[in-house]
Amino acid sequence: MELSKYVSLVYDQFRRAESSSLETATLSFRVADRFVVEVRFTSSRLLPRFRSAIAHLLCEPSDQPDLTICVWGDAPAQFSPYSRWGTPNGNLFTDSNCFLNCESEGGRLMAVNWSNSVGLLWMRDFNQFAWWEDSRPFIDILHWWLRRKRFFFVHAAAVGTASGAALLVGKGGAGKSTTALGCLENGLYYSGDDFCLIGKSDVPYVYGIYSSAKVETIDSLPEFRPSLSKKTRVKGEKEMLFLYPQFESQIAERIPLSAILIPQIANQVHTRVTPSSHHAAVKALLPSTTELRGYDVDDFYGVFAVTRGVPAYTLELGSDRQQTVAVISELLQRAAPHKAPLPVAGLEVDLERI
Amino acid sequence: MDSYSVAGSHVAHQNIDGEVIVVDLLKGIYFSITGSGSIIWQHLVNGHSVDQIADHMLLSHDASRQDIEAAVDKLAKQLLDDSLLVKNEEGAVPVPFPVPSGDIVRKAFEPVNFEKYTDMDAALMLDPIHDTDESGWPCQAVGAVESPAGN
Repeated sequence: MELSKYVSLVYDQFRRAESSSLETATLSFRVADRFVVEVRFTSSRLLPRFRSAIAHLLCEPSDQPDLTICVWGDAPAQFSPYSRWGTPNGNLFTDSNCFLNCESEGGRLMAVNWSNSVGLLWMRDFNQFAWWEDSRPFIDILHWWLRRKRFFFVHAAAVGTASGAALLVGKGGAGKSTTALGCLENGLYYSGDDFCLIGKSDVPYVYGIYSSAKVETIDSLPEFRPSLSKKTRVKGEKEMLFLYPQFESQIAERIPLSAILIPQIANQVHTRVTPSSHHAAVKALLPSTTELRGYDVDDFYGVFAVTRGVPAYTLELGSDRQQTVAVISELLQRAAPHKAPLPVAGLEVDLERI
Repeated sequence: MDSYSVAGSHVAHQNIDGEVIVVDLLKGIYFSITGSGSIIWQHLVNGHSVDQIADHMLLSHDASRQDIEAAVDKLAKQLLDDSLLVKNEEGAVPVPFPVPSGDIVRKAFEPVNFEKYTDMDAALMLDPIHDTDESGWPCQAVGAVESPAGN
């Protein structure tokens, strides 16, 4: 069976499930400051877990959404895409129209059909969703669809001022979430702590998609307690925060990208900034294939192209969090989009002046 | 005269604002080619020989033919050594050189910069994504590589 036909048949299954349901629900949200995404659920019970991280992007429905995502399942006795049409040999498939991810063991199917801008998310049991997936709903479908529009997800936090945004890049433990929340606490804009979207029109931009954050423990950040997820914390896992509406005025949908910061935890009090390379930035920005399904060389080229010309710095993180925020603010004030990198290492900041 | 082509579908390449980025998806290595190298790369993958490229670039670049030929030859050897290009069979027909519109203004021949980055294999050795065709359920995409984590 051709892939496009298979995806079309799966979509038909969704429509049958939707038409026979008595508790459908929809929500609409705006992505990259321009695209309206409509999500259709066959069960209103599914909506809350998908809503929290994108609540800041919710918008009025559109007669012609740019992308429609269909969400259904959670009923083992009903439709299973595998038993009817065979189990595919492999997980990822594509042709010129569609992208499909099948995880037959986990009971999940996701797809995008670019020709009719429809995304599909089926799960045999939504209780099998990992706890951290609530922090970035629909990321795979958005990733596959937005990539063709030349918007790319990167593994980064993002903070900003009115001058522009900095991406904080690097793998877990590098300090990007802590730094991002510290900036938010001190009045900077925030566009995500784990995945952000980047794109380029006249200049590169960062687009905040998810207003979530994950912290080891809320005890070190008591002011964020109102944003703590109401779901019971999974033992051994981080605390999850949904920062909207507590920080409504600081969650930014779009900011020009001014700098890429590569945090490194340093054994010192004061934070320092030293110039780094585009290569180091790209290396730190790219998600691993386990973090973003279906990641391919087009993502690499896209991230490379969008960030080319954006100055990159190593951020040697000191223990003085307030001074760290001041350093980042100062750097953003000086580094407007597409300016040359700062010539001098070790940015000095007069805290009295900030 | 030897001419060349890209070594296979496992070699991706793109020109980003004058910088050619070539990715070997099997090894997870990428290369950056800048300066006059980005133009030389395009002529090489279009199937032109070193001599042909040197003759063509002499028309539009202010340098000696010897210098241009040496730079083209060196880059071609590097690309062969890194398995990004392969030699064509005898008789391969190259893509014609572009015809310039208007008068040719000779410009400086910039040094070729060729850099290799080998520390991103975790990001660039990508999951196999299967192509599908009319015969039905998917076949392995040409040049697809196995993910280190398995999938």
